[in-house]
Amino acid sequence: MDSDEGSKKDVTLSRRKFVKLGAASAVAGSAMMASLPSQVMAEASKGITGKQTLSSLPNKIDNTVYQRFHQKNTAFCQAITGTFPEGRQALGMLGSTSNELGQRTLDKAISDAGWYIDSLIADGASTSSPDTVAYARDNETAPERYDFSSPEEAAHYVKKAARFLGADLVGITPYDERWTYASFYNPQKQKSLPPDLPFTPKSVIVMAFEMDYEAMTTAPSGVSGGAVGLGYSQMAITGASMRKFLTNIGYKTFAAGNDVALSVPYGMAAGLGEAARNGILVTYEYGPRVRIGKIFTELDLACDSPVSFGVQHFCETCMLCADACPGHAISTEKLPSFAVNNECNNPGVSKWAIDAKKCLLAWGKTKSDCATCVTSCPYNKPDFWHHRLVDKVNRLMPGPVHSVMREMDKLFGYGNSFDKKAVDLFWKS
Amino acid sequence: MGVFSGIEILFFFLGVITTLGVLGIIYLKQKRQAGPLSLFLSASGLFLLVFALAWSMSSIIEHEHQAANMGLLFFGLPAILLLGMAWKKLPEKR
Ligand code: SF4
Ligand code: SF4
Repeated sequence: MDSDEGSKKDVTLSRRKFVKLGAASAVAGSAMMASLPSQVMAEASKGITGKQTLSSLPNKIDNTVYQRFHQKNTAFCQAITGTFPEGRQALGMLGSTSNELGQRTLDKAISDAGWYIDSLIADGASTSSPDTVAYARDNETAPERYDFSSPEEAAHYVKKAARFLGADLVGITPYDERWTYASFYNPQKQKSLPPDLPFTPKSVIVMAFEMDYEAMTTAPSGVSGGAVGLGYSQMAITGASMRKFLTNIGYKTFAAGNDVALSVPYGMAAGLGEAARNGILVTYEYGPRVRIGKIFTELDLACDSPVSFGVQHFCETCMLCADACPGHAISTEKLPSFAVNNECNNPGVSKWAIDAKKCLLAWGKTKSDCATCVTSCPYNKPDFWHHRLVDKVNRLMPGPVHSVMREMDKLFGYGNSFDKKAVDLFWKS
Repeated sequence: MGVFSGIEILFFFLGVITTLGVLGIIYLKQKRQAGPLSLFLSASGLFLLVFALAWSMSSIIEHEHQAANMGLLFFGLPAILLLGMAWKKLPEKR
């Protein structure tokens, strides 16, 4: 693959065009406001917050087809066990170094450092190893329970604890067996395990962990790999700490990384964000630049509802992640559908299915854990006021305006990937 | 500056600029007898100018330099044009 692929072309503007653009933007701004449909204006005048609460998950589920997913069908498990040998080869490339910016020993060292705590206590949670120090399921529980006056009060205290212990976003949803793997798999030990849980959880606390914005602008590189690893390490630390907190007050609890259950549906159900074209949970605060951890507990907690802030609608037009993906693993179909690529996708849910095998092969080519689909997404912005404003305006705009927004995002220099200068900027800032 | 974050300093100075801008508009109305069109253009220009500065400085704080430049171009330039038009619409000094 050409290492410049997906890079942002330099924007050069003549002085004449510069002035014209300035004048045009003043006119375009007023024209856009004038073109807002009346129902949108009505919504705006009600004081829209940008997030709409939904009564159920927005994705259509065909219950006649949907079955629980077997963990061993993930591309990772298949690569590690050798049933997907090209994938195994690709994983072997991640540690290789060269003199290229982003691939130097220095860059790979920060990647390894980011992953370090995860590898110590979670055994590489991205490959979903169950029963590690952080994600052990059978845990000692204090005999005396701390009683909360209501599930609402309990939820308040639990969310406070999760944020204090390192989560950036916290949501709660009831335990839903549909998202639990039909069978567990330990790729390190190459062993299938029955999907037995030590108790039937009542609530699932879903936590999102922000990955560093600046480091992620270097994707795909060792530096962005470090940000991904650090996200996993923080997820393991907070997961283990939350388990300790809840078992200390007498409630059976265990934490999970990518193991036990699918993370994206839980993230959606807990109101953290929407599933997007790139197959990732896009959160309101950090876009797709998050990792998701889960806590399963028998404590009865007040739950959150799924939300929408227009991501799926925007994805229909945007496709920036699909254009930037070096593995051509992201769907370019306009609308989500029930189509799947291979056994790595679970049929029966309407979505844009990622081709996880193509994705993993691109990791080998880029010698990194890629994440270009995170970096290129217009929702991947720091939590600054002007990005929130654009999000809100986006939500009010009809579909065709989204194409303009997509181009503006590129013109403003956001979403670059394969940008070697970003690596330099990261180290020197 | 240690005690204050970049965004806090930015919004402090934006407050100062907005106050000066509003005083300027009051001056135009009271001392230069600016008409409604001129006042409208200067208020819109001031709003856009403050927005352009806020956008661009915020982008610099988050190390997005191209976004900062484009912010000045897309919001700053129209702001200058509006302020220029407002100036042209002022009645002659007596
Ligand atoms: S991680 Fe890279 S290869 Fe995989 S889907 Fe995202 S952009 Fe494509
Ligand atoms: S890049 Fe565009 S299409 Fe892809 S997930 Fe983000 S908003 Fe959706």
